[in-house]
Amino acid sequence: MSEPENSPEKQDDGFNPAVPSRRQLLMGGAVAASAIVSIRPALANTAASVLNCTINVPDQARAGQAIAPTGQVVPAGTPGSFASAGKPFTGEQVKQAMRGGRLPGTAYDQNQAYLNYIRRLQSGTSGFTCYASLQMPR
Amino acid sequence: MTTQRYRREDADATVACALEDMALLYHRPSGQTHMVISPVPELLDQMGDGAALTPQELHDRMAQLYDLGPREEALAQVEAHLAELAALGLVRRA
Repeated sequence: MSEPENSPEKQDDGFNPAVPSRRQLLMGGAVAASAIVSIRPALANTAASVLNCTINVPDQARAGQAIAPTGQVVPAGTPGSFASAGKPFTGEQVKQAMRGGRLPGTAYDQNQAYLNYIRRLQSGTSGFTCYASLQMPR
Repeated sequence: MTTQRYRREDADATVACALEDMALLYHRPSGQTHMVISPVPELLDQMGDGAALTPQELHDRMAQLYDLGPREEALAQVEAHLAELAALGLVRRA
């Protein structure tokens, strides 16, 4: 498995065995790991908890209102709209539904309306972070 | 002395950005950004050809370019760095 050692850095060897021109490289002392600091983006953290985060349909500030087929929040009783979901959906349930499944306890059209609502979530809205984390790969 | 070999993660798995004395390595698979300082960028550079190297071989490559100080000490540091990099996914045990 050994590689040929004819790498281009040969030209840096020079002919002086002492090679005084080599830059001194401090190898890091006792704690090697101190040469590396890692940053996790905030969303990467939430991705770990995708299975646990929840989305209310609609968000709690508008609880009791209904969801139009387009996903818009409309007054309860609006013709063609669907009553709000009784309990929040988990990120995993939403993920499955977006892959062609169905949110638990919903009829076909109701499921579509709820998913449209979720797709319209914007930054700052309750549930958005959960939805955004579902978009992340892995 | 370990005979464990390490090779660098595929080049397109990381995006590197040099900032003066520091390098930022964005690791796509994990979504993490690693701020690394010397000698980590130099170590990774020497592994850039994708060869599976033992710590000794990597040390010897480095020693051609840099004054690493006493061999035993430097070798232990190279090993420690490789283990750390492997834990982060930046290099792989081959």
